[in-house]
Amino acid sequence: MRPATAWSPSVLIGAGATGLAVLLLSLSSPGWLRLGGVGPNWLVLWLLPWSLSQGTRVGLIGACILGFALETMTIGSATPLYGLALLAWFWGRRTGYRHLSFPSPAAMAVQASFGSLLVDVTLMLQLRLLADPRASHLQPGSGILSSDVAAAGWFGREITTAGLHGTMAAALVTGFLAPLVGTLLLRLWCPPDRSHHHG
Amino acid sequence: MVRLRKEFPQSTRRARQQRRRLLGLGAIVLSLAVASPMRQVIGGALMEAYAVLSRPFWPGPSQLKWVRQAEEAANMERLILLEKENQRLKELIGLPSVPRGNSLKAPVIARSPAVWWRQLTLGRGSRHGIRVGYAVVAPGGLIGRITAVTANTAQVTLVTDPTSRIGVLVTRTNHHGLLSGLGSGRPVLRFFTENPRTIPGDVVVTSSASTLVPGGIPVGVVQNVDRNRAPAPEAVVQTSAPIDAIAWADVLLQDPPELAQ
Repeated sequence: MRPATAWSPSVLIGAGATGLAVLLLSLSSPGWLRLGGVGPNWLVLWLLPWSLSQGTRVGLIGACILGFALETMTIGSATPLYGLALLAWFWGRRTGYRHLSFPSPAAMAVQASFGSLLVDVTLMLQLRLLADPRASHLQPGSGILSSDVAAAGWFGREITTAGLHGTMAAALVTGFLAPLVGTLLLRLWCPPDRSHHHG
Repeated sequence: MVRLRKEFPQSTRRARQQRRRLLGLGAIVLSLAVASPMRQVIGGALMEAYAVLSRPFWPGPSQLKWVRQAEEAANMERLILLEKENQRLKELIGLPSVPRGNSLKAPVIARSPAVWWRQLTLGRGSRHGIRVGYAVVAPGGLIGRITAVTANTAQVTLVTDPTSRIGVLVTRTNHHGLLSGLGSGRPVLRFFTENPRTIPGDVVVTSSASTLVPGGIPVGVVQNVDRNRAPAPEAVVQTSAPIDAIAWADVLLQDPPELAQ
């Protein structure tokens, strides 16, 4: 199987449409796909087949566009862009424009789970480091309470109670969905009949 | 004799007539006496038969729904009247009353994309009069505050977000505290006093001393209390509005108290 060497309009339109779709899915986060109140990491699900089929450079472009788009639509200044960029580099490294074999569903699930974990960990680190206890002067009650109570943000307790739980749940759901979504998207970007001719 | 003979039949005829009249009267009295219980028995049987026969044509659940709707409308009108009366009484005895501004219904068009963002996006924005800082409520109570606005959308930071801090009050004990999101489904209430005497089941409302949200909006119910927390006890609060399930929210179109003053 071989990725499309020249960017045909259909690949571009397909990438744009599916990218938009995963962005909308991450925002609408349908309740029937959630585990413990957390949905799958749709951007990771999209990026895995994209960078597997298109290589590092194009994968990075896709990761940056989607990561930046999600960042602008969420509160706070944390961005999934760094994690996604790392993943795009990691997944696209081995393929480039060479032949690639369809990964097995299990491999895809493991890769997607790992990707989801990585993105969530980078987000957690950003939120942990960005949360500034001194910003509590802007918060109500800061004059009455000690600053560690009025301080707002992801500190140790928030991360251990909700953060790790959500990270694990997202990794699981992403892993479960990866064989289905990833295989479909890989088929879209590198049609298997082509691979027969060239491979 | 002839006269007697003639008279006799006359007298017997009269007696017979009298007897017949008496009999008739007796029959009427008797039939009246019998008829009143009979009427009930027969009437009852007939009504039951009518009920069985007409059952398919009885007013159905849709008619019952109309009645319920009418009752609801009546209750709503009563509520408005009581609220006005309450307001007037509060003014009479000089209590500070919270003027309720208009609210705007807005559809929820996006939810938290991951655990790191406890947010909602509403399908109404600055074009509809929404500004940053407005409180957002849902059936049940407060769910968050507007933190960003575009022309047609508004982002709500939920009370469960770790960056959310809202001054609240436990109504039963009148103790103030700070409602802090933990990123999980339930926020935590950090008290200002060391012995808040709060028990599970206490109702939590926004504090009238809060500079961010109007006072008196219900927030949730205390689920359990951790008295060993330093520097002050904490209580886990279950929000009364089903944050994960709502599809429409109300934006209170009034500036936060801090700005209004």
